[in-house]
Amino acid sequence: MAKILRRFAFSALLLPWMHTAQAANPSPACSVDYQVNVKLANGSSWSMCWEVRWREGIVFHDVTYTAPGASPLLILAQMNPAQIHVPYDDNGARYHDETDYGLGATKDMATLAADDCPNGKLLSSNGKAVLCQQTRATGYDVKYYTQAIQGQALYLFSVSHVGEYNYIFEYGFHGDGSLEFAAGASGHLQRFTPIPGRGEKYGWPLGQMKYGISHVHNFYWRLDFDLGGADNDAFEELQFPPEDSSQETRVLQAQEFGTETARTVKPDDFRSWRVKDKAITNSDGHAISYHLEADPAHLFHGPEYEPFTQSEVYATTYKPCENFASHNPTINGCADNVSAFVNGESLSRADLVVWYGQAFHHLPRDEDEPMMDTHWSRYFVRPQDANAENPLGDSAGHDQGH
Amino acid sequence: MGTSTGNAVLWRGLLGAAALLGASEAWAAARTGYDPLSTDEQSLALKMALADARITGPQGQSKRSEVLMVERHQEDKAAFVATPTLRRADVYIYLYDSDRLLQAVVNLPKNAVDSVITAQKVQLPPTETEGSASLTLALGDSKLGPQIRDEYFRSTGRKLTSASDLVSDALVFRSDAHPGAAGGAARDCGLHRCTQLLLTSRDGILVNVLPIVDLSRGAAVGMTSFAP
Repeated sequence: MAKILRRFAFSALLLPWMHTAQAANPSPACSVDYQVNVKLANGSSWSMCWEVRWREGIVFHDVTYTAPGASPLLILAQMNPAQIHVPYDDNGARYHDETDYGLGATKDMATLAADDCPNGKLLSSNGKAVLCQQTRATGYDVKYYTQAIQGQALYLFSVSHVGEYNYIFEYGFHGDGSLEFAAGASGHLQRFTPIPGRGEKYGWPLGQMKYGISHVHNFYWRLDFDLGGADNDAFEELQFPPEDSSQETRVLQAQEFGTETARTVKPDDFRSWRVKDKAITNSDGHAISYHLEADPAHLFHGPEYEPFTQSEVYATTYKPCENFASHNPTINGCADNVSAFVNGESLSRADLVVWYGQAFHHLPRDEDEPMMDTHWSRYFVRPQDANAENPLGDSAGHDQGH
Repeated sequence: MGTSTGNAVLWRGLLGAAALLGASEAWAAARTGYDPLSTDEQSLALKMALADARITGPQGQSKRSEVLMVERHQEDKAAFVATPTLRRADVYIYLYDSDRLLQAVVNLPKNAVDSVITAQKVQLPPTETEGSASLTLALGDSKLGPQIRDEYFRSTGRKLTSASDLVSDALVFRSDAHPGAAGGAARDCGLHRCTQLLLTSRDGILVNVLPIVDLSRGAAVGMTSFAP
């Protein structure tokens, strides 16, 4: 189709994304057992490598999307949880689960059984089934009167035990190139108090003379974007404040950051961020990019000794030793937390890493016993002009032009 | 815990796994790039690190040490493009007497230890051996031990007869991460290697206390509970 031929307006032989696309497919930097290559019903496909790491749990590498009939596009060199920070409202505990307990050690990562992965496939690391691979229907991708495209996505998830909690890390890889990140928490509550004054102040009554203590799960994610390759990426903030005091109109403000930065959400201005490639455009001449919209239902800004909680989104230059949002090993001069990774280095055409922290304040309830149902923290990273039009076409799968 | 015990436990685990799975395990030979280390690779990396003078020297000067972790070295991401055969492991060993973490980067194809780095105030997740040692120290403490037993009785209605009545999960505890819980000797935690224990009964009933144990000092140093 003409659309495919004009998808990327560049010389294929000379551009840097080519070697990374080749690295992901057909010669990925991992063996067959640690590859995922899935073609969805709509014709798009995803490929990546995965590994289990002691602290991070499952880590994905070279995450590559191929739209129907198009060339592979490397999106992320690596993606994984970068911390689970759990401060309790009564200051009785402040956990850093990923670095201080670990999500991927033998004792921490659940062995999955067939029942954990209905209609799916279990993937094993060193003989232990730790990752469930499923394709699931996701409802309408497109609906227009009598026309419709039914969505399908690849899902991959693992389960890690931390004390009474079971954390479920699930990734959705959608047919339109969107990425879905979800952290679920289930199991048992970890802390209670029998003292009414304390329980009523910091928690919620559960049964008789027992109060579950409210707490926050701050899920931090490390997203090492290599959009079309490691070079030439830029980090841009988009927001839409009112144009004047009438509040009747809103104007786009786009700011590209020249140096590393820490940013907070601003939902009343619809603030969001994107990583764009400054060398690759789609056939409309628009820079290809991936767009992060934060979910700011709850925000957590903690005490001074938790500086990493003061912002939700960080953009830093890539460094192999910067791996965790907090309690990062300070080996070889590396900083302790993501707020200190922001130290004035240039982001201009840099190899950059985006960090996102999503908070969930858990108010206990009677239904949390005997076991609590899974509460999810979820967000999406979606293509913004990575294609010149909807890569899934119209309901008949045709290129509609534009 | 201790040099012989801790290493022996990990060694037994790794070598046992290798023996169980077979040395000619198909995946062991096929590992490449981002693949996690096979059990054979972990065993080899540990063996090479423990034979290196930069490890044996400081380890010999410490009466107590523990192998904390053996995993694939996090390479610069361009590494596999430049050197597709690159296969390196990190071996982390903690020396309690000097509160130092040793990181050996082992180059498996070259059969060499590329580097050994020493760090302080870097605390990796506790091993199962450390978790067990922490529980023993907490239960043996003249103040914390009775408190844990009381709370076990209050939670379960049963008397705690031994440490095996409890399921214990250990996290690293750093005083700078929770100053409110780090009074007295617990203030050293972070420089010292400390754990905080999450306790339940064998039948899954929460024991609502959080003992803090200083493994460097070899003593329980604090506990937070439901009360202020």
